[in-house]
Formats: sequence, structure tokens, C-alpha cells
Amino acid sequence: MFFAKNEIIELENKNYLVLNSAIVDNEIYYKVCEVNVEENTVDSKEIYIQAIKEYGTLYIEEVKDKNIIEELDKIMKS
Amino acid sequence: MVISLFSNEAEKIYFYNLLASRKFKLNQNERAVYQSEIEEAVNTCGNILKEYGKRNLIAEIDEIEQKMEPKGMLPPSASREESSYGEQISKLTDELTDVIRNIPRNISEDLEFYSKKIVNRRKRIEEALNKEKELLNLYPDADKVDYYQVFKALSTIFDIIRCYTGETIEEEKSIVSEIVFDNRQPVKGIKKAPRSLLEKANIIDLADYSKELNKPITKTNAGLFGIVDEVFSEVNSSPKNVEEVKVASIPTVESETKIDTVIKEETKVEEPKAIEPDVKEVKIEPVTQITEAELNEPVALETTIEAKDEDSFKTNTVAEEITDTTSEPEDKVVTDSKVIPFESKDTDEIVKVEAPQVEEKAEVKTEAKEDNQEPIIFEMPNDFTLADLAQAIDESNWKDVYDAIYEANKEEFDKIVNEKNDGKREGIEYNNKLFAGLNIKIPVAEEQTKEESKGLAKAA
Repeated sequence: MFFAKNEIIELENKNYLVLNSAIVDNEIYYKVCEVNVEENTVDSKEIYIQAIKEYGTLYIEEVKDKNIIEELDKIMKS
Repeated sequence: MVISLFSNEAEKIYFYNLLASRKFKLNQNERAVYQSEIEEAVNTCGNILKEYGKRNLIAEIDEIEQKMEPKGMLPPSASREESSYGEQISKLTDELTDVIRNIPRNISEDLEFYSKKIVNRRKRIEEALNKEKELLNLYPDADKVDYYQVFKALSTIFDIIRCYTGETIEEEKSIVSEIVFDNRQPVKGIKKAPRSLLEKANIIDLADYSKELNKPITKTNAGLFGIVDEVFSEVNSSPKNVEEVKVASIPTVESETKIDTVIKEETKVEEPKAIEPDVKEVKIEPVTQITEAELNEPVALETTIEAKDEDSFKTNTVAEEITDTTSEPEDKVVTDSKVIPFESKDTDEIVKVEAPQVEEKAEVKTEAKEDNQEPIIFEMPNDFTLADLAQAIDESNWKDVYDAIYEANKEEFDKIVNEKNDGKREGIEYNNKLFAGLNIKIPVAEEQTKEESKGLAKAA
């Protein structure tokens, strides 16, 4: 687990708030929503991301696979 | 067994075009490298000649040579322009020869080296250009390959190649994601979200923050007597049948020890100024030494206060049973048994409380009283929210108060939320129907006791 619930992931020009996480097929997915840089407003749009560590650098990647998103939606709701 | 790599002609063309484009790109890169080397050499020569007050003759010669047709491509009858270029080059070469004669030998050798390098790189560039032309003749699309289309068309071929080389499908996936679907963003940092943000996002976890709220409540006993955790632990390890010691307030100081059976004990307050804010000064014999037979018998409790100054302190002797605690006056001080360590060995022990000065005594009274406060029960009126209740208690810090109320009534609240609100906890503090008529326990924080009481009265 790279991120925990209620943590803020800081990127180059935007931040994400971690809302939840789930494991599907041994892969960890995080449900996040965008937060402005001042950290006072939260975007209502929620997305799923994955974290990848490569050559010592941590990256996040948005999940776009519809099947995984559907499965994650089910898990997160339950 | 021979496996055919291509299933059709189109695949073959795509594949060869891909190889040709790779070669074409390599040639282009090579040319770029040679060109940069030429520029570097020309600049170096220019700097050397500048030191001797000459212009960059090598650069001029190179420039004119570039304007001329490539060697071997000259038509038999060269144009006048070409011949003029030749004349210019021969003039410049003569001029350069004169310069080289007049400069030190090592410098002239440097110039010669760089000149040869320039000529060599020009040749290589020509060769690379020729290769590119040949490639374009064979594969006209080598310089404009649509990689997406090629990878799409050749996916099966790549599968075959991978099967042959033993590469896994996961590698293929990663390659495709890097080329086509890469949307990675590097993470600069991770930090804990501020509470205000979580509140906005409606994802605040009350259980987490109730811990923060509990802290001041547990700390509040550290008052006049300087009670610390060590004392608490020490007292907690004492017999459980000792529950509390009550000491009367000024002018009457009474002390009671609650045990399973009725016990009366003597509390002696000798001098008003003798006591210091140190727990060690208060001596109570440990009850561990009391036998059951002794405990079963009611013992007369004597509390003696000896005061030097009548104005500051009055003495009193009280003998009464603990069961009668409800009849005590409001001013009576009730101290937690945890406050006082036990050292005596008999049930008839005399608790010596060296009384402080009057002002200090008053502080003891207040704090001790607050220690034993039971939660206030408040019946929730209709159209009244938990937020209203918390605000009535402490408007500026109502969120914390709400959290404390929530913690104190968690079981009931969770039950109601599960039954009436589909288990959704978000926003229940603003719901004016959910808890109507419910007897809510208000946890009493020591310093807030009076304020809460006032607030509740006001709210009610």
C-alpha cells in the first residue's frame, strides 16, 4: 500500500485526496478525488488510480478499464 | 518445421517498412551527430585563427564547398558558378597556407587535424544521405511510418516473435501501455489531509477524532495536587473495594472512604498552611491490611480539623456513614480515591490533611467536585439537532463537543442510524428528527461543567 485513506497525493500541478482503497486480482486500487492546491475544495468527481513504483519514482495512473472500474464500484459501495 | 512469419503480403510490407524506418532514423541521427562535430571543429578553428588576427578561413571554405554539388556528381561541363566556387576555394586555401606558415607548428597541426575532421565528417554525411536515398527508393514510406497502425497490423507477428524469444505477455502489455496508454504522473509527495478538508469531503471519521477529544478530559485531574499518571497507576493497583474519599469543603472538611461495607475514618486537618500541592503529603493507610471481619463492622469516622487561625479555617468533626452521601451539602468536596495514595495499615487510620491556605482550598473544592461528575442526561426535544445541542454547550468548539456526545452515546446512535438512516452517519448531527425524544448522555468535561449546564439549560 503506497497510500492510506485521508492522505493527500501531491503531483506536479494537482493534488488528490485518497478516499478508499481496494484489492482486485492482487492489484491495489485507490479511489481518489481531486483537491485544489490550497487544499480547501474537493472535486466531486471520483476516479480510481493505481500506484506504480519504477526506478525509485512513484507514479500514479488512472484506471480506465471499464470492467475494473465496475468491479471497484461494487466493492467500494459494499 | 518452418513457420511463416507473415500471414499476408500487407503484413510483410508493414514489417519491412518498420525496419526501413528504423534504419532511416538511425541514419538521420548519425548525420545530426556528424553535423554537430563539423560545427564544433569549425568553431575551434575560428577561435585559433582569431588569436592570430585572421578571419575563419576554414569556415568560409566549408561554406563554399557546401554550395557546390557533391563530388562525383559534377557534370562534365561545370557551370560558371561552379568554377567561381573553385576559384574562391583555391584563393582561400592559399591564404590559409600563408597563415599556417606564420603560426607555431603545434597550432598549425591543430588546424590541420580539425580541417581533416571536417572533410571526413562531410564524407560520412554524404554516405548517410546516399543510404537514405536508397532506402527511400526501396521503401517510399520509410520516413513517414504510422507506428500505431504498424503495431496494430503486426500484433500477431510480435506474438510469434515473443513466443520464439520466450518473452511474456506481461511485457507486451507494459510496452503497449507505455507507447499508447501511458498516463502516468509522478508523485511529488504524500501527506495527511487537514481536518477541514475531510469535513468538506464529508469523510471525516469520528472515531479517529474522538481520541483527540478524550485527551483533555483525562488530563484534567492534573491540578493542585500535581497528579500524574504514575499516581493514577499506583492508586489503580490499590484494592478495588475502596471507591472514593470525600472531603468536606470549607468551613467543614469531611472525609469518607467508601468500601463495600460502611467504614468511617478519621480525617485530621491540623494546620491550614501546612499542606503543599504534593500528593505525597496526603497520607492514607493502605486498605489492603483491612481484614474482612473489620470491614463488616461500621467504624466511627472522625474528621478533625485543627486550625490556628479561626478566620481562615474552622475545625469540625464529622461522624457519619458513607451511605448517607446524598444528604451532604452541595459545598461538600468529593475527591476521587485515585487522588490519594494509601499507606496506613489500620482501618482506624487517621488521614492527615495538612490544610492549605483558604484560597488553595477553594481550588481543591472545585476540581474535586468536577472529577466525579456523572454524565448529564438530556432528553432531545423535537426539531432539535445534535449540532444545536453541541453549539448550545460550546459554540466555538461545538464539533469537538459533538464528537464527545457521539462517543458517549455511540451504541444508541449507531442503532438509530442503522434503523432509521440506512446506516449513514454523514450529516446526522444536522438531522432534527432522528434523535427526538432520546435520552442523550452529555459527557461532562471538568472545565466545561458549568458552561455545559448553562448551555443545556439555555438549550432546553
